[in-house]
Amino acid sequence: MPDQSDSSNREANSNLSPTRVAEPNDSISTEGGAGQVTSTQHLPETVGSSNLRTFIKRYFVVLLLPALIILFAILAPSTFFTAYNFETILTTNAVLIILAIGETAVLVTGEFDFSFGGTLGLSAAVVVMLITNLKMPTLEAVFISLLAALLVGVVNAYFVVKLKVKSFIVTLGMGTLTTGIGLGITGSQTISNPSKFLSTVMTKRIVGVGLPFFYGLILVAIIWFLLEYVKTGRNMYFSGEGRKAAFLAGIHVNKIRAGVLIFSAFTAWLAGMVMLGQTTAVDATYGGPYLLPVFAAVFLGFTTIRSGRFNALGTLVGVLVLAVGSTGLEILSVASWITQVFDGGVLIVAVGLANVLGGERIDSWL
Amino acid sequence: MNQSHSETTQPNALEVSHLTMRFGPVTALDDVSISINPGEIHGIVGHNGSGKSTLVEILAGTYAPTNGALSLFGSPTPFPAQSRDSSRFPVAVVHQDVGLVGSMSVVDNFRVNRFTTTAFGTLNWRSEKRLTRQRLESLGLEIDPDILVERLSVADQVLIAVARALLDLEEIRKRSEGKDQEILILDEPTSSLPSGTVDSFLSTISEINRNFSTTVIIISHNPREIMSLSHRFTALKNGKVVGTYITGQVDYTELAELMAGQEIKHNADKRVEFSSRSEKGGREVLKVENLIAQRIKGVDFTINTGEVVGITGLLGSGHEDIPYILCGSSPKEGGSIYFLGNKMEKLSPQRFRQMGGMLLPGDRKLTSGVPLATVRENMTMGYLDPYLKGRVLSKKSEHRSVSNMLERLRIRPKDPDRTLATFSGGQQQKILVARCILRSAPLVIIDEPSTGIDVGARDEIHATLREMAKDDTAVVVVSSQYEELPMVCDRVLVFQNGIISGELTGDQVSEEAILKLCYMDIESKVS
Repeated sequence: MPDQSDSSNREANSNLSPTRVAEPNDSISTEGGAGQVTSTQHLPETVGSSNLRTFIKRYFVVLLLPALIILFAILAPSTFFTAYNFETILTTNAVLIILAIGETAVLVTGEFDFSFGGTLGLSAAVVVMLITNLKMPTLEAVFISLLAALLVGVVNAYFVVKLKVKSFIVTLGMGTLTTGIGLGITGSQTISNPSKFLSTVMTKRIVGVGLPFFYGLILVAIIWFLLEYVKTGRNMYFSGEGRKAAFLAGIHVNKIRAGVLIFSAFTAWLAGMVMLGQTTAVDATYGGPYLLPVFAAVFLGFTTIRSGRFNALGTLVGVLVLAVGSTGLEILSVASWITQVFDGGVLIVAVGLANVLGGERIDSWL
Repeated sequence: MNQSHSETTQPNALEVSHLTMRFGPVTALDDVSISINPGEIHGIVGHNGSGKSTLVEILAGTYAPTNGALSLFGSPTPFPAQSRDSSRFPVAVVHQDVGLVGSMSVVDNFRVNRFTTTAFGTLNWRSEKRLTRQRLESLGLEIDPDILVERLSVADQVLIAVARALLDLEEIRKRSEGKDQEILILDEPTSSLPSGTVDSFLSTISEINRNFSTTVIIISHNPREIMSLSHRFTALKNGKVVGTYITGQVDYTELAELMAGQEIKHNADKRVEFSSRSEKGGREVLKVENLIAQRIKGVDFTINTGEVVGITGLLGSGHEDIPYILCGSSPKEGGSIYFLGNKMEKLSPQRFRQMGGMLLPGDRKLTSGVPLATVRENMTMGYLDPYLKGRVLSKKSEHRSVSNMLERLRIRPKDPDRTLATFSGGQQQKILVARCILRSAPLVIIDEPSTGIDVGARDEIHATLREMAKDDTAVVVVSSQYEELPMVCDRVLVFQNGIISGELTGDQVSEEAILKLCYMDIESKVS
């Protein structure tokens, strides 16, 4: 006879009420396939004790920022905790903020853009070559390089939306492709910035902080407002979290996906211009090292403020945590390789944190 | 009509007795006893949720039953899920989804796990391919073993799966010292076949049965298949055996009556009162003329404001495609669709929405709801206009509107900022239905509104749908659960094989009438 020991428990627990037998809903779990009962029935958390925990979970990364500042201020009061140092941190991280905001918009919609480093290098290379070789006026050169960057975004969007290739793949290829073109344009040389105009615009300081930081802040504000208070922003989240449902509800999912890829190319171009102005010389590969910090910052931001959602303020905080952390470590005169260890470590820890702290959103994302 | 069938001296090929299967509080099979004669083709027929699939899963070894006994060819045998050595179990199951890997070749799929090797330990491709070719030819399939499975027609794929199952059975027979015992179970084998290829597939199965004296059990929701192929069949309803019958002795009308059974009355009190069924004469919202699509072979219907119209049919009859064709996400091959009198030239979900159409698809986790978004966001998805001041979203007014809706539909917890995923299935569905109320569109199409939800939530949703139709709205409920339609619909369109086999209005709407139209022999009526 078949062994029934393990099924007898189930039988004892089950409700034998005969009226249940014929309910039409019962069909769902008996017929495999589409109708499986799959609803997750999380019970409401007990209110009260969880309030503080929820707060700490949600603002952990934000709280990390003052914590790091205090830590380094104690360890290196004379070098770290100075106005000059903070001005430098904000100024030198403008490029990171701008790139990370572009990537935030892309990740919100469920896509990836790995090509911003190449686009940045290409944009800078185009400007430099147009001015030095063709003696073009700066503004025209800058405008043409903007068109070149947007073209990169459009090609990305075409492959992703029209040809349905994963953005991960398309932009990975595009990043290398654009770096290569940039190297071709500059003859693989490091070229000094020929434009006085760019240098002036990008090194101007307001209250001691370089102008580009404020460009970054403006972008953060715009994207924050868009995601929170504009229909398109809401639809961007839907494109990422429930693309099929969004499509069937009549939301222009594809336009949104194309739009963010083009926007990301725009931010890469802007970052390229900032870099060109801030540094005395460029080469087409200068954007490459930003790949990791950008993702680390955006994922740190993902865990905070709008916990479990990529958001602009979170990204800003993420950038600042990275910047303070790596500057602090450098000031403590740990060797400069520490920056890479820190950035890489933060990316992994950020994602791990997201899982530990995170709400139900994070599980499905990472 | 009941058959007594144990007079023959030959033992039954397969016999299950007092088989019961419970999943928590749900009883999927309730004291089911079925005997299959050796060498026969035995049909198992039943509506959605009758327990057919559970029976197959138990015989395939997926579940161990809660209770019951099995005997094969006269000797008691443990169920495969309870047996230590199920590799000798002489039953092969070809599942609905066939179980082939599309990106691999025919020979790979055919011989997976059973490849023979040469003396050097390498795969013996030549003999494997020869074997594959031979086997397929014996079923009348001339196929290059190197071709990828995904490049074959669905009909050929199903046959490859059948051939593989037969080979399995043969190997089991060899191991069990050549006794001529084998049972092939086909679970809804024709559900994925294009309609033109079903007949030739069924005749192939008949031939296998005749030539190899294989006992075949065929599970199907399609009465025609059972009627044309089986020698005997067993009807299941709500997990119980209605009876076992000799195929030639039952006609389609009797079959429909069997499927309707006696238990149908328990829902009668929930039926829409006829006096409350709407008066005809609303404004025409939708007109469909001679619509043709993949599974739709030319249908006409109109939908008016103020009515709830049900669209149903057996699985695969085409009714399930209607919402997606209308909203433009599934292609239409012919015919015209008029929306509020305008002919819709190019259909797309965006156009559909702009014209005032609203679709609530059937999968809360994937196509209608966004589990990770909040209740507020889910409820106002695709229609934020009422909460915009200029172009800026007023979260306060959105929040207020959603809170009111949660109150009105008694959804707990009343927190608009929780994610949808934290609610139970029934609450989720109510939240999504609220999206339709907030939108107040002239046409609301809801696909499978009661899938996976409890009776209480279902009744509340039905009440909401009826209320919605009182306003200047037409509501279309597409459902494979025919039982719910009399509770909510003024009118029901029943699909069968891609055409409308009948339309029921007002007093005519009943479970019995719907089932009759589902099972009616529509082709013979036409000719």
